[in-house]
Amino acid sequence: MISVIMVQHNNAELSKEAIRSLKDFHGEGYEIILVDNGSANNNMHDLRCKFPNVQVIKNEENIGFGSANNVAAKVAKGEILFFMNNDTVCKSEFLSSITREFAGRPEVGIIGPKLLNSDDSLQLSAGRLPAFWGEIADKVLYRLVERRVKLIQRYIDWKFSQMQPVGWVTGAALFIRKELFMQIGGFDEKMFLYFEDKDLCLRAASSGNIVFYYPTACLVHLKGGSSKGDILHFTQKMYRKSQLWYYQKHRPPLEKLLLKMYLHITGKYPN
Amino acid sequence: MVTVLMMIDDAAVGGGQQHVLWLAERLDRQRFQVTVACEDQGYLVDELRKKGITVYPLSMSNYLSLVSLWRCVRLLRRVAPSVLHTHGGTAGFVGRVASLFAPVKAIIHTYHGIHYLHYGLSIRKILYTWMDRLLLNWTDRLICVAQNDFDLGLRSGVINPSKSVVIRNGIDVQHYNVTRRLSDVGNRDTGSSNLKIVGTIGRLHVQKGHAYLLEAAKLVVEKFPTTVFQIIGDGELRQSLEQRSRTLGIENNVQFLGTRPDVPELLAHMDVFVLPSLWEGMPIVILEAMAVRKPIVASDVDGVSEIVINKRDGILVPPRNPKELAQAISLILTDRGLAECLGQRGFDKVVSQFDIETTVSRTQELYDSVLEGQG
Repeated sequence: MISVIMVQHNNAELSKEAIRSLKDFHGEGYEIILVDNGSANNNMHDLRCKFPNVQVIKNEENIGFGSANNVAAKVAKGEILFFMNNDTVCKSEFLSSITREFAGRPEVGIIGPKLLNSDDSLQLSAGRLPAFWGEIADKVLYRLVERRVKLIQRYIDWKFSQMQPVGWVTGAALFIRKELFMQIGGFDEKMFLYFEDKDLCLRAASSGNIVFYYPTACLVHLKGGSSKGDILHFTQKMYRKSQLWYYQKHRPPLEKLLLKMYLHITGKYPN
Repeated sequence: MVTVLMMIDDAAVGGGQQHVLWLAERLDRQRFQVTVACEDQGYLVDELRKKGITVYPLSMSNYLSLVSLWRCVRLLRRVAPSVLHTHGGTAGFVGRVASLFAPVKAIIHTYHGIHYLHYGLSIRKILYTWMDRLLLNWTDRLICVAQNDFDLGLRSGVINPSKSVVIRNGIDVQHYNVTRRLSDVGNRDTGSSNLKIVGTIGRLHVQKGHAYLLEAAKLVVEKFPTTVFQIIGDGELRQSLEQRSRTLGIENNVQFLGTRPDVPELLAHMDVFVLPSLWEGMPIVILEAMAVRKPIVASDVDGVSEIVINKRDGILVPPRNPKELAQAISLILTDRGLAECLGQRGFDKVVSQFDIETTVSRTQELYDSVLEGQG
């Protein structure tokens, strides 16, 4: 069985949409656990009425994305966990093929589906693990994709239509074996937002599991839908904090130093 | 009761260590009382203790120091074994020198590959050769784990044919019967991912030829993007190899897993086992891969070609040749019938020719004959 785990913060409407799309394509046969991460004035009553089978966990305050997922994973009954952002929407049925994939390949520990933007353009939802120079190269690539440079876009479209082993897949939609998740200790709770997915994939890989990108399964991700507006500044700060912690954990001292210098020079260092 | 003290420097996972472990637990306990001296912690120590075999901690990391020599002498005097059986260069040196100052009846040394003979002409090579020739004078028996080592040693004068025998390594095939342990795995073909795993196991040392495997991996991945190369083992080259895989742009397809205790399970998941070594003694890891019915691609070097017959129970390619290595890997990945056939023939061979019981009984006979000669 698959346990779908969703975390929401102030955006109950999005969660409803996501759950509805899941139900539309998949019917029953899986459990959904929704963690409310200290939303200000959310009325959960409506959601509970519409989807009585959804298990709701309420946190009094926002404890961060990874921690909230860890809480839900502990109570999940499925042998496969599906971390699904509440700003994603299913495009087709995929749970059964993902289950088959896990059953057929015991080495695969994590699977990431393909993600699209709301206008059906591709989202870069998987890639190689962050390293200082690699991140710079990727940043240039992202810029070119955003600017819709034809050749690059065609290459990326081709690349992301292939099944392949990857360094990481985004936590916006991530399947992982529960046994593995528990064995490696879940998401790193020191990462409030961002990089917890990369850190998880890295730890899974170094314990001998394969991280797989699986474009047959496809979702739409309304990027930033769950963290918008005034809190943008906050999320950027969290991004940098998590990035620094990631480098602290996994990268050599020289790269850590380079990153710190870069952040100081560009005024992005989180205080 | 014959007391046997086995000596090996390192206790981490390795071919020599596995050999010592199997010997120690399988020698007839009615007649032989076996103890082992090695580093104070590691895989070997844990496993021996589990089996109830006494382990004496003995650090030989600085093998030229008088301190470690003195410690070894004291240990030998305390244990006073009938047979001192040293394994590998370091323990062979320290143990055999120390035995001059202690009451040891018979001294036996096993070469697990004579590595220095494969170095280019260097001071080290000359020094080690000279040292081994000297040590040979008071060694009662030498064991080579492969015929090739014997021939090579003979040519270099570090082996005296009247004192030396070849006892080939064997393995405990039962230990690798993982099909039962993996029963929950299910049918591998249910997924559509076409994911393939190519693996290698060994210290990350120049000898093992990982650099060439990475070059080959690049070629294989171009053809089969869903291939993952699992590199199991640790060593001084880890960082540079990781860096190399990034430079080649295949870091998503290469996993460095470090030293792992669950070798049989890891092997069972592989589609191809590769050993790109530049030289080998008698690689136990090839026998291990055969025991789990894996098709093998390996360098055509001395110790390997003694086990694997090209195109019969594996594919041999010239060492330092990424292109041919990649071709052989790709061939096995595409031709499933061939893969199964090679795997099965390898399995049959390891069962019939490389059984650990044969190794153990021949070692016992050797101990007996040496002690008989001593009266």
